[in-house]
Amino acid sequence: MSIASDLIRGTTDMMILAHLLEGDSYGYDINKSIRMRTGDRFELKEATLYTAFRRLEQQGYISSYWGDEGSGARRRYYTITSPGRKAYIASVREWENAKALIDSIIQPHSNDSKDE
Amino acid sequence: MEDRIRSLVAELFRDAPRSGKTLELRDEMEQNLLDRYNDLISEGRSPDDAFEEVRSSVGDMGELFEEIERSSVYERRAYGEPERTPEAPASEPTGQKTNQPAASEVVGQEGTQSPAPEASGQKIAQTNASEAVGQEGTQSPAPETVGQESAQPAEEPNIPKAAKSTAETNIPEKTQSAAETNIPKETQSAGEAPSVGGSEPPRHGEPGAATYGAPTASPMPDVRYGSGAARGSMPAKRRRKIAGSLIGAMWCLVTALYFIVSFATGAWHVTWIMFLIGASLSCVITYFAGERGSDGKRRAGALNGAVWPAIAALYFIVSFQTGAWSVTWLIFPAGACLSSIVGLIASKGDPRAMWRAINGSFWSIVVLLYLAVSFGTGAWHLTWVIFLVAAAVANVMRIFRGEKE
Repeated sequence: MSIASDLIRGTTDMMILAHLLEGDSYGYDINKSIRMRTGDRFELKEATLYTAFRRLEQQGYISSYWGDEGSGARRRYYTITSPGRKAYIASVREWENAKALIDSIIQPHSNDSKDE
Repeated sequence: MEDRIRSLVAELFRDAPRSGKTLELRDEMEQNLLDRYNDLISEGRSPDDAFEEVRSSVGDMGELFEEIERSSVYERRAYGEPERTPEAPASEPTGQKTNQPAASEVVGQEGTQSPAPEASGQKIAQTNASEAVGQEGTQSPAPETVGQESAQPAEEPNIPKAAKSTAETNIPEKTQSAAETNIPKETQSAGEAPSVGGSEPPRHGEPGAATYGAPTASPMPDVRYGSGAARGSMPAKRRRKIAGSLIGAMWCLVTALYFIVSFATGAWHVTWIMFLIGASLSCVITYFAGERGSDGKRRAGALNGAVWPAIAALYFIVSFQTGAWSVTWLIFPAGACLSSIVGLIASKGDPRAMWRAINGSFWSIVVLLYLAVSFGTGAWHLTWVIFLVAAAVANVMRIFRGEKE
């Protein structure tokens, strides 16, 4: 379980960028979508989410603006920038490589199965 | 029930660094938690249950605040925030509690000036006066100022408080005007001679200095000063008045600008720095107001008065821009060096003033040297020896100084 959360922690930025590729969004909406996609098995803590927003904004991968809902709610929306898109593509590729690498290392009987 | 969420957020942000970013984050987070809460309620959860789930979804706020402190760029947004009073950010700039005393000192000084713009000119003059007196300490100022044909406003700040108050409060106006008209030239010339013998070089363009005779009368400081002040009081007062109105006008402008910019950008946590710049400007005005015939000490006083608010402003601007609060405080020791260089220039070869100027920044230079060498070599385990060496040097310097005197 702790391994899972450690692994996932490193991919927070990628998750947020992935969601923003579909359109501008705000904190709770992003988290809700993550929860729904994972079938209620995972969601980000609020603090983790905003930390990632600040980090991504500082890196220039996302930008933000205050939306006016009219219902009195003032939500902060985030938009992915073109460096953000590039960063997303790069990090997905990195993730695929790492996944393949780790898979090849941790598959227990891979050599045996080849022999068989 | 929404109030419960609001108080939860207030509690979460109790220890947060005070900045515009934090306030924005707080609003953002509050809205998102409310959304979550309302979602849970609409799913049929009980209010208590929903609140608990909201609470447990928050996570570690510490890492978030760290990230905020780390992030450097302050975004300015047209975003009204009723809680952002100018005082709140001014009294607590982001983090770095160690640097606050210096800042709040300057702000405090500045604060006394801003409410009464008209009086600020006078106040600054007095501040400089006490600085200048502090610098010159033991020298008796009376001989320097006495008998000036064209007494400048510049002269007044250099007189110690005792003498000044005597001159200002004890001598009735009638006596002054009497002094102006009735005191014969011989008495005035009595006051002139000591200024030639003073440590300061004779001032250029001193009208009539050569025409006065040799000293004849016995010194009577208060009366002599009174006459001197009275004789030159018209142009001096007028120039001071102009400087005062200029400074007053400037403060009004600064205040207006402060509110306009602050409301426009919402960056209340940054904009108060304008007042520091204002304080610096008013010293510069004071400096120029008394320029004609003014002496080195006054210039040093006015310039030093201008240097420190400017340095503080620089410190905050650079810190807010870069977020490198861990490094930017070095501006202050650097400022101390700068101010002693100003003092050195203004001392015009007077050894006492020179000594004082060097001595004032000695430890600042040592600290800068220590940090430069340490960062350069990385040999922190050795470089602290610089302080021991510096202490030895300071003692040797004291011996030499003793010999000189």
